[in-house]
Amino acid sequence: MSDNAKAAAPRKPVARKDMTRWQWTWKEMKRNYAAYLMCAPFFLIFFTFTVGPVVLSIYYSFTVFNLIQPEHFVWLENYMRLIFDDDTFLKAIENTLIFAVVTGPVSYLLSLVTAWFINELAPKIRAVVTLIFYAPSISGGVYLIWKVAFDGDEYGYVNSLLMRYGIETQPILFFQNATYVMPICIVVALWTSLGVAFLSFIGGLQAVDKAQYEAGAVDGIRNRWQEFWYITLPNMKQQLLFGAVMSITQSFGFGDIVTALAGFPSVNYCAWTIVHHLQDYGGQRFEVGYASAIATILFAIMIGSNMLVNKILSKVGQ
Amino acid sequence: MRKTLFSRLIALTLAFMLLSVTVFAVSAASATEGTESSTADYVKETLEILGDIKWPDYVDEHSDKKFYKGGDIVINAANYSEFKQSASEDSSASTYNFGVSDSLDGKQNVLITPEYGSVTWKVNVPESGLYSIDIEYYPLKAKATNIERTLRINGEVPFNQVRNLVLTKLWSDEYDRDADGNIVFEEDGNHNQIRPTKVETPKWTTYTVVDPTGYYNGEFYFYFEAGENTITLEAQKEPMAVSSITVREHEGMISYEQYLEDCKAKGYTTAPEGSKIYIEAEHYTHTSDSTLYAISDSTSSITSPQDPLYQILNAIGSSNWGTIGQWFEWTITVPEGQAGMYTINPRFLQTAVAGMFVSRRLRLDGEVPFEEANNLEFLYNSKWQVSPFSDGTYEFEFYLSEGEHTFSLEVVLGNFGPVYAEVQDCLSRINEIYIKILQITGTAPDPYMDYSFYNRIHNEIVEMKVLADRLTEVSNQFVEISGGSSSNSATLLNVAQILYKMNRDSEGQIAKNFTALKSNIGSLGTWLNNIMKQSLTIDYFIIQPAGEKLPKANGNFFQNAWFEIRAFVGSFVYDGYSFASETDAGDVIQIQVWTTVSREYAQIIRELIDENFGKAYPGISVNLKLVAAGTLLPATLAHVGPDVMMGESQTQVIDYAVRGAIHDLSSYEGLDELTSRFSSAAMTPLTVALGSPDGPKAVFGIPQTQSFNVMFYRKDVLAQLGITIPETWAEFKSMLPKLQSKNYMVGMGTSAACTSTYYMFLYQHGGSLFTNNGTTISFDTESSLAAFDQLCKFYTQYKFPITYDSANRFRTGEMPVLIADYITFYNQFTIFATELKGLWGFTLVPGVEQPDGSVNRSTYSAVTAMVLMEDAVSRRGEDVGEAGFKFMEWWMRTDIQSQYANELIALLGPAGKYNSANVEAFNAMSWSSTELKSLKTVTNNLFCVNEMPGSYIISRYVTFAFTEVYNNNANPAEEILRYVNTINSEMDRKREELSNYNQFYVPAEKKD
Repeated sequence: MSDNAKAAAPRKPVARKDMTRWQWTWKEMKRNYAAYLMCAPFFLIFFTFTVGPVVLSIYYSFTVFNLIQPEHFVWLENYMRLIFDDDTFLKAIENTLIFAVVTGPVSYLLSLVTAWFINELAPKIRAVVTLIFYAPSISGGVYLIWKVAFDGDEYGYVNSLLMRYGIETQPILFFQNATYVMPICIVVALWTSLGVAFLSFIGGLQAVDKAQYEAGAVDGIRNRWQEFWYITLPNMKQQLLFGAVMSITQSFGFGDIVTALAGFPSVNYCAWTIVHHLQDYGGQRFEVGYASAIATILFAIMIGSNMLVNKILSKVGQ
Repeated sequence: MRKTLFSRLIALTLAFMLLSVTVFAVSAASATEGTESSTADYVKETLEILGDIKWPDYVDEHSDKKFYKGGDIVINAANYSEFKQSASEDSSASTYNFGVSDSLDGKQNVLITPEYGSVTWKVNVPESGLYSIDIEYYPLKAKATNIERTLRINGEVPFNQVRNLVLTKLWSDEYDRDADGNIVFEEDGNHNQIRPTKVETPKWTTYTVVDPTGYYNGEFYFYFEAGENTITLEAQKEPMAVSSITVREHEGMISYEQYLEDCKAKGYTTAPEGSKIYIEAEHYTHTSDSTLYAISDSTSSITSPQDPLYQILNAIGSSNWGTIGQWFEWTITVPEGQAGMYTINPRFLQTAVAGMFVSRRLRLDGEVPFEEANNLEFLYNSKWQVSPFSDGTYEFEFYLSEGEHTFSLEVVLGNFGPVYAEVQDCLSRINEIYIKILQITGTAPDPYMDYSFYNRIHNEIVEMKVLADRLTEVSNQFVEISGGSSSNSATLLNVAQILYKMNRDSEGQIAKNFTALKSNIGSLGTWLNNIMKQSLTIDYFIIQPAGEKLPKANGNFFQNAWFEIRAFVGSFVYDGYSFASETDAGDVIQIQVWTTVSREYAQIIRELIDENFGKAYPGISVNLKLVAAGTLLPATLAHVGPDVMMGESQTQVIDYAVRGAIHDLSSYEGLDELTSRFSSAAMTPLTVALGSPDGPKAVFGIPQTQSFNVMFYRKDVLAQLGITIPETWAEFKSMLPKLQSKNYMVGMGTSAACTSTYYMFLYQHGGSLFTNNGTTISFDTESSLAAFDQLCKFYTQYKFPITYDSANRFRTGEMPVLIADYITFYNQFTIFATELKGLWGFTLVPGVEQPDGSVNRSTYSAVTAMVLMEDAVSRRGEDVGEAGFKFMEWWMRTDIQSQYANELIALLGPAGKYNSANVEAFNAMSWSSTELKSLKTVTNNLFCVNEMPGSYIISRYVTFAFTEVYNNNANPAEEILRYVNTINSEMDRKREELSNYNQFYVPAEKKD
């Protein structure tokens, strides 16, 4: 009976306001199931290996966990200790910020300016020059040649030069002397930083429509600078954003270069960054809870700075 | 005779004085001071070695003498005249005593000579002349290494080459045979073939005195005056029995043409058509070394036999067979009616020396058949080759009669020998000149400074030209022999160029090219070492009449493709990282053992387990797994880890133990016996007291390896400066001005090693690392501050270098004194600088003199350990802890460790020495008796520091303090004190964090 009654009832069109938000979503999902199915493999992997660990790490940052014994919950204790009772962490933040502020924007501008200049060259020369500038960042551990150059031995290149010309009488331990470690690491970081961002800039510069420059000239562009600011840059906003994100991530992650050059830990923590602090607690001291708290803070800083960059980039061309 | 010797000595001394007048003055002065006898011994010995002449000089010197013709003069070894033992040799470990034995393996009245001491025989020769010497010997079973002796004639070493005569032993494989008598190799659980056990099969052998370094072909001859002379054999390594010494006529050899003619004269003809004898190279009957064995070759699809997946023993050689004097011997049978002239055709691969050939000496039935058989050449090719034995000119034919024959191939330098000798000689001369320049300029000469080289080292500058000419000549010879110039001649010419420049314009060019000279000396030495490795791989031999068709040397396209495809597909199925045991039956206990060593090492461990552990404990099956470092932590977290983990560092052991992941071994029976096998220090870092300092002691691991530092020194440099080996730091300091005034450096450890060096000083001052039973650091005590101050002063006041390449500097001699990790440096240097054999030594580090006059020479050491994981006891509902412990106990047994060490040497050559924590096994390795004596004193002085939770922080802050002092000349005491609180609070924090588990303390010292 009831079946018949239902069938008899007039079919009412379904409207969005008739159902809850969840019901609506579910319905839409069923309708577009093919798209979801195709996304599924990526999402599964993405959630398992990227989102999962981030969430897990945030959870562990509220616990004491040594990887072997079960964790126990301590609320905000890790954060309290990190912020109020860890001098080394403050040093790490300081160094990281110096690194980020110096290498981030500088390498970004350097990439942009170099790309701009290179773009003016003849295509064949451009290809060669591009390779030269890009080479340091593709060839993995090539920054290690700086270690040879600044070797603390008297046969190290720089030391041997300094001693030959009588500037020094004893070899300087460049990588074990707090005075030199940071500057050298920053220089090396800059040297390797002309990477993905730089390439994308070159791509962006070449993608700008030539017609726009002509139109600009008609509209009263007076010099190359105006052309660059009003036509070139707005046209490559996507590349700029991409480059910025890459630069920032990179500038926070220079830890490996520092470790390779100055050792772990660098002497007197002089080039100690947040990443090092994290590796120290997570790897050497078996304090994963604490390390997770550090990671969470680093995560927050990175998101914050990316938002800031977005803000700044929106001003381009205005 | 006496007179000539005397005048030669005088001449040598004079030459020596000319070279270093000032140096001599110092040495004379210190000699008169009357220092300790052993040190004086070393100075004397070293100067003697430095004064040695070479074989070509000896030949020149005696070119006017005539060769003796006549009957053999045989001396019965039992009629010796004297036996002496020197103080620096260790005789306690020897299993053989010097003396005459009534009978040994069929010989009566033979003389047993142990691995120490020297024996002298008197010999009466009828006329003055040149004689060759034969020694009939029998290798006595001891260590798995060759016998070495120094030959003296009338008390003198006639020339340098007889300082280290090498007498090989005889080894065979214990093959299994199938029903038909064919050799079959055993297989492991993974179907990989296992090498048969090597056994020593000694027999009486006649050794003719030849060049052990392989530079010079032919037997040596010696000049004897008519009348009574003495022959002395001084032991370097290994015991042997001697039955007779024969002084006889020098024998030349017939040429190949002569040999052919002789054969023709005897009516020998080519063997009947179709006669073919085939033998696999891996089925050899004897080898000269325990380290020579069958290998598995997978480079070719048609190596016989071959398998794409499993390891099949199918060849010999490769890098395993390249050291001078090593030989393999094969036995073949010529069937009835097939006697005649044959060619011997190996299928071989020679990729070792690009563009050149490697050499082998052929012995047929124990004799070299003709002169040219000394230099069989195997040409370079990236592919396999099949071709007859040849010297480059002839393809040799040999007469083989019916019945059994043996033939052997021995590694020699062949025609290149004299060339290499020449390069070697030039190299050591250039090195001496380099040191001379270094003494004037230091390591970084100023090109604009006036050093007046011309006045100061005039002779050396003149010699540069001579050396450069010699090198150019040698490089021409190279081009000639190898046919065409190659990178080989370039290395030589580079050095020659530099020398020419320096010679032409000494003031301008010496300082300028000094660094280039150094790096070129290094590369020349390395090049020489590499080119002298005569590696060769042989698959099989085909012995057939000349001119018949030879089999293909390489697989065709389809064979290769099929092989590769099967190997590729198989690689998905085959698990090469798990070394499962064969017995997987029901009621055996299975234990999981993980190791992080390399594959070859794991293979050896597996073989030992199969051979030995399986027999000792049939109820336990061991599953050995090869894992990457760092796998243990996640595996433990997920409870899928091993039961026994091998090779963990002492810090890791305590890190895991304090978190409850490692099982305490103290309750197992037999632990006391087990720990008694190690040096008393080795257990320190693995033992803690639980709960309170007097609480129960827990043992969290069994030491596997123990590393420690010793002081290496260049005997030649120190002897020339007349420096005695320092025993205290005070003596060490008084040595420094002598060295530093000549621009020599001392290496006390790089900045990375400063913590362990600091610990050394700390313990020598009577301190220890922790106070309050391991809860606080001791850096604020007086002894700690004194120790740190002492450490820093060496770097700040004496300007010791803080980063350096130790092996290179020790080799060139610019850093003649060096404190370094024993086993690493020893291994590296033994193969790195073969030319310096006998010119360097090592001893205990100097010590701090105590108020009572004794010297505290404590030496820092660290261990790696194997541990029993807690999971072994609790995870699978069954307790396999006992089985795990049995495995650990078994692995650290003396015989197993000795076998393992021998296998490693077999695998890696002389650089494969392994620092077993088992003291007896360590001592049983192939050390010379002098080395052993030094090592034993070291073992008694070792200490290890305790490991406490949080102790990783200590070395970090010590390094900080140390670099601060070094860089900014800060006050050492202030710097180290600055970190005491930080370290203590970190350790407190750790203790608190881990308070839910047992608290660890340094165990209270036993007072006895």
